[in-house]
Amino acid sequence: MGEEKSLKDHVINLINALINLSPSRNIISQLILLTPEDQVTMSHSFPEINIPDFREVLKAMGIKFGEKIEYLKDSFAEAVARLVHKTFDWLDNEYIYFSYDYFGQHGFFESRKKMDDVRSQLAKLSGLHINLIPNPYLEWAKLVIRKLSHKYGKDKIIGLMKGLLSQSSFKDRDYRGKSLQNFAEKMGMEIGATPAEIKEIYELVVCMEDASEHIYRKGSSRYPQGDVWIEHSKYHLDPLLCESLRYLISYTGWVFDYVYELRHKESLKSALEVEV
Amino acid sequence: MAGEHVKSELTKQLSNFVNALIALAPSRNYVTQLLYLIKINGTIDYRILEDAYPDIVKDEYVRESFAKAFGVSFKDKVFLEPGKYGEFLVDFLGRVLQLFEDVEFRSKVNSLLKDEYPEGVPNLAQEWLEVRLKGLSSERTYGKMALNVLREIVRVGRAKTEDLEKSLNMGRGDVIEATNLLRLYGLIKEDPYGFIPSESLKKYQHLLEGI
Repeated sequence: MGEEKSLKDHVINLINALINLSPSRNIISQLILLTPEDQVTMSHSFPEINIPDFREVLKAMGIKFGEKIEYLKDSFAEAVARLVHKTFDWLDNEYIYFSYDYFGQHGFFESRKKMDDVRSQLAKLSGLHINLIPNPYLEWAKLVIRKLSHKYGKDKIIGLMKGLLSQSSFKDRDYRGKSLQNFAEKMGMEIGATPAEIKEIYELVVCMEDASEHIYRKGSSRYPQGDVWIEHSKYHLDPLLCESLRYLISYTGWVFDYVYELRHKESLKSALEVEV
Repeated sequence: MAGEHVKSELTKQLSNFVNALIALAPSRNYVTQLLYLIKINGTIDYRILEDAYPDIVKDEYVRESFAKAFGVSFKDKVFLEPGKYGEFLVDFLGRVLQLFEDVEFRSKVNSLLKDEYPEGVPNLAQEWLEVRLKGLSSERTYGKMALNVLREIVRVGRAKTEDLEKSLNMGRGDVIEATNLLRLYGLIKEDPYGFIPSESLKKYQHLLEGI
């Protein structure tokens, strides 16, 4: 439809637009991502929200101002939060999708996959070197780790993240996440954080209680085969993906294992290297 | 009271945010335009896209990179692969168009960005329709004919193929080609009783007069 710019220009424009919407580059996305939060904390972190005209713009995007500042369900602000998460994953080669694959006589199987070649393909389409394609997740992780290192001390934040990255996965026999609790307690002792402090840091960067985002149900509601969740942390580094796996034990019937896998490992390692 | 510095920094941030959303719109970006057209249609014949978007579709190297990066399947029929980023992105674009169609949102943004947008921030939904109408009118073979068919559908509100044949004195083959083109651009929809104008065209009918 009447194009003059080259495809390369359009790909670069698209990437730039997405990057400008990421929280490392824009306070509006940052503010949306960090809600819900109480008004006092938000006013301190984002004094801009005290400007009436700006507040009106945020309201028009679906942000609700009360004792807490939060976005409304199905609002544009919620769509921005989802875009930020998906773009984090996409430009870090971590975007998850599910597909049915056909295995001949064994029939179809559902499997979890990753769009793990995005950056290289975008480099081909844009003509940019792959390292020049921005990585909003990495940018955000660097900012978060730097900010929290100032607040809690480098040793604690980097110690916890390194401890996390040294794990390949966590496994539990139920949904309560005991293995994660054990890990947090052990790390608390190693980095010299009090139980309250480790809980706080853990929720900021690893995962919060009741903040799992259900992303997929394997099987059907009648014959569930398991579920997949992304575990959200307050600052949305979201390094854990939880998958429940259903299997049969002859004397108890169907049971589920819960396996937590690490995501964004390479970018988190890079973010820590910068801070060290 | 927020200081002047906070206000000017805020204007910059809001401007970046709004400009980024505008830059994503299918009326402004060739990539999102193709993705959005596939979404509107569900599937599109490979042959049609090869003509309409040759620089993405014709070259195997580009086509494969595009498919892998966004999650698009280029077979006889072209479609967005379920659950991949391309599909997610077009859903988001739909929300962007809705937001910029909202008079209240635009007027609130205008109050902060009047220097940057003296004529107001654009209504991207209207702009997207304009781009499609212009694109349609410049289609070499059936463009003009399709515009006449579109005008007739808008005039009567709903029309069947045979109605269009009679009222426009056109052959059935030409009507079919024209309506296929109009469907491709998302300008009409078909229901069991005939063709009807798309929702956006019903809202912004006056744009047809300017074409």
